Amino acid sequence: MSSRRSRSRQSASSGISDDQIIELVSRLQQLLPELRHRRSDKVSASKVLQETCNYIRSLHREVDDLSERLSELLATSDTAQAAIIRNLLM
Amino acid sequence: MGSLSDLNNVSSHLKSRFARGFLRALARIHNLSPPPASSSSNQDFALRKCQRVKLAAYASMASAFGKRRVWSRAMLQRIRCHSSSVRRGKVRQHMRTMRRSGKKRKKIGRELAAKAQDVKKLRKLVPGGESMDLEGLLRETAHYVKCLVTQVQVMRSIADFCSCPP
Repeated sequence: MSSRRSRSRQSASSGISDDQIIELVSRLQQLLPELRHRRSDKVSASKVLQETCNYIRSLHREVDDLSERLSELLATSDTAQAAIIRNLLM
Repeated sequence: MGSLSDLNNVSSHLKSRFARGFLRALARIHNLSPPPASSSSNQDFALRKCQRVKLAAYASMASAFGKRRVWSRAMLQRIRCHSSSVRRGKVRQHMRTMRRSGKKRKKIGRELAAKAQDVKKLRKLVPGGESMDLEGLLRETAHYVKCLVTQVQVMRSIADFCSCPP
């Protein structure tokens, strides 16, 4: 990882090549459900970063909700759940 | 209703690694016996159980990568601090970044100077994001997002499966 980083240092002033940043940002764009079908030159880096933040926040919220749901489910019909889980782990 | 064993066979390596660890943790949490009956402690117990499930999910995902990624390393560290406070009975709604880095940010290219605010917000959301340079942050973010999506998919499948037992 560190060798990759030192190779990327192209100019002393910026530290990291702009092209690489643009490449990484467009890769990130591909992961976002809202933006992945739009052309990278039409979407600003700022928009990608904002959408990424929103997406991560919504994923965190989903994990919260699912955790709540799962903890309630664990409480009900205990033996069924325990049996299912045990079977899965075999 | 698809069988849950399909989840492990069909989906990627990452899904099964996460699912196995997470299911084991769920089984452990499930076996925790509730405290003697009293309404406030029952509520506390339910809340702590929910926190435990959430922590187990993040811990299982981070453990799949261990120290190999900055975000998983940072997350495992955060969880170690957090779970000791859960045991002490403190309830927290969200895991907050523990790091307050005063480091000067590396200078980014001209075109991206205007995005400094967005980068700052991203740093707060990605575990370990405060101390990385922009390139590292973008790489880690991509990986972190992929893993979060997988985590959510697996958790949802498990929840759906458990809510309609055969």
